[in-house]
Amino acid sequence: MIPMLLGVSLLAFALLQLSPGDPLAAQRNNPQVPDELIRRIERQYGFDKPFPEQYALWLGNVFHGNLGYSFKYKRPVADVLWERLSATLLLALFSSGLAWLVAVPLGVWSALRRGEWIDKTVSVIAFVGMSLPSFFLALLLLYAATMMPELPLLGRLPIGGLTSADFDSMGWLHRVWDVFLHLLIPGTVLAVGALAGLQRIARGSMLEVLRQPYVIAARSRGLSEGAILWRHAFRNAANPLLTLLGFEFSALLSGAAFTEIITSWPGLGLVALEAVRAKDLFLVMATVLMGSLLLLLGNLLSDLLLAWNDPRVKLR
Amino acid sequence: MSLLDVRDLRVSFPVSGGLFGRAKTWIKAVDGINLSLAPRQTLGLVGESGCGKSTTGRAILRLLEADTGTISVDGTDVRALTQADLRAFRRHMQLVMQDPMSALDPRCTAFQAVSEGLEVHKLAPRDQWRDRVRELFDLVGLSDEHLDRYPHEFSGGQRQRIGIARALAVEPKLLVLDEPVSALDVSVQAQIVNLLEDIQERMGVGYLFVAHDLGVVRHISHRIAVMYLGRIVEEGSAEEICQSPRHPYTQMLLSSVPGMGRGKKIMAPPMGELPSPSNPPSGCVFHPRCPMATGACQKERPTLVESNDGRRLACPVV
Repeated sequence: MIPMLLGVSLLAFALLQLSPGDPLAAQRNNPQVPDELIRRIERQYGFDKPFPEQYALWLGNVFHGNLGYSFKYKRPVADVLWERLSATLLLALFSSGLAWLVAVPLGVWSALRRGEWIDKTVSVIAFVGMSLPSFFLALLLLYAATMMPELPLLGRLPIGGLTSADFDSMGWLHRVWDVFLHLLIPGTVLAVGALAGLQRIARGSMLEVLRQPYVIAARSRGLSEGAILWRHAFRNAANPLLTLLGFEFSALLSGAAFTEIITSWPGLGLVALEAVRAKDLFLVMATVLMGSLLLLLGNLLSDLLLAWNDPRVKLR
Repeated sequence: MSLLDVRDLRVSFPVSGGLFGRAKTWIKAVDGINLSLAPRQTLGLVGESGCGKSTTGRAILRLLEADTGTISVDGTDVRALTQADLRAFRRHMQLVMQDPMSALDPRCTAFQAVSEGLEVHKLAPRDQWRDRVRELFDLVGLSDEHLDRYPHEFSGGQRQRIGIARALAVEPKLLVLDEPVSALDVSVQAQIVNLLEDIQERMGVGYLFVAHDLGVVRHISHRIAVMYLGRIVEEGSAEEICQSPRHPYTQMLLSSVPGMGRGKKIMAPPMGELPSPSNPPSGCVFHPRCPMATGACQKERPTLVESNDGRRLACPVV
């Protein structure tokens, strides 16, 4: 895990060095900032040193818990990242929860009704969902939220951001509701993208398991179809889904950038893009590191779930 | 009264063909067979793969639905049972499967697998399950330390023992053994066959023993029925079938078993492939592979004729 993080960070650092421009470009172009000050900043952050030394310096700081300073946001990187991370985490949890709640029952249902009209209908919808680009769906939903009449119960959905302008004056219940309303559009967009694939895999692995001799053996012992389904079939069909969970979750954390940008969700994706565009070295490095860390954590999570679900998987 | 009585059983499967899978043809997997098994006895059902012997076993247990025919198990018409009654009746007829690797749920310990039948059919209160399963383990030659292990921790032979214990847990009267030893090593095969004989003696359960290997079936069976392409071609006592086979197909099957059929009219092992059951040959289904076939065999379908000594044979030539 550690060697992998080191490799990723080295690669990202090198790529940033090779690309044109530098983090202090804005300051350099500002005639009011004296050259002397820029040189002092360069010395302070080690930008005047050769590449390997800069990397070593950065790495040392990271090990001491210092992620550096963001020149774009003019705040410590850790502060910027922290609030963005929680927004992204919230979005990822919401959308993957939504996708799972819908996709897994649908997949199991399709498998049980294989070849019937319900299975075919769900398949068509799943393929449409899989083929629809997320940015397009996001735009469609934003358009609908603005142009269509108000929804019952929910009212007019907010079309961007994490909270409403009057968030600070709300009670806590109202705040939760407000964030939930803001989550709906980006959450749905991400869920639709993940849902289709999940439904197909849930259906496929369920079909696979339903053919297994131990399912036939369970039926021959007189178990009810419900008991067969939940006790023997579903738990065995869940393995590929749990493996996928880790990937899905980390992909949502790092790969939600498009959706975050279009729905102006203040998450990691948006901040990563802005950081790269501004060549905000330390911020870029921190988002890269965070992304890989989350991917690894996602895989760890799915490994733990697998071990919990399957007695054949032993953790060493 | 016989334990199992099967009359004119027919099972067919749809096979879709054509460009969009619209054109349906039917495969007659089981094409009108009669079987009967006395209590505490073993009937061996033998034939090549694809001849419909496993389908027959599944249809008897109503794990798949037959087209026509009656199946009576211990006097109950199995095909007439409602779903709820069928589930309750299943405790009287159990199945042991071929592949012990996939016949056990990888997520259930041996104890869970065996005790499930007790739970479903409410045969013992929960606090007695453990003792009951211990008894069953003792019966099939497993020890207490095996109770809480998962299937992947067992060898093939041990898993088959668990499969047998699982089927016996509900004290069935009829056990359908679907190629119970063909996935095992030869040395283990003998152990399992001996175990099954032992159990029959102790518990008085009747076996329908489905296998492709006459050598295995011979030792355990009282009677043997030979099946070819969905039909029974010959039936008789195990002794008779193995000592003096009459049907050309039975003779071929015997000659393909090493050490059997020697010193008798030697016949070559079956030539050629089993024809497709979706398009069976006319007349006697065996005639394309039969060395004794005459012109009449291509036209007339032979009936299974019972002779005075209780043997049944579907071949007018011999």
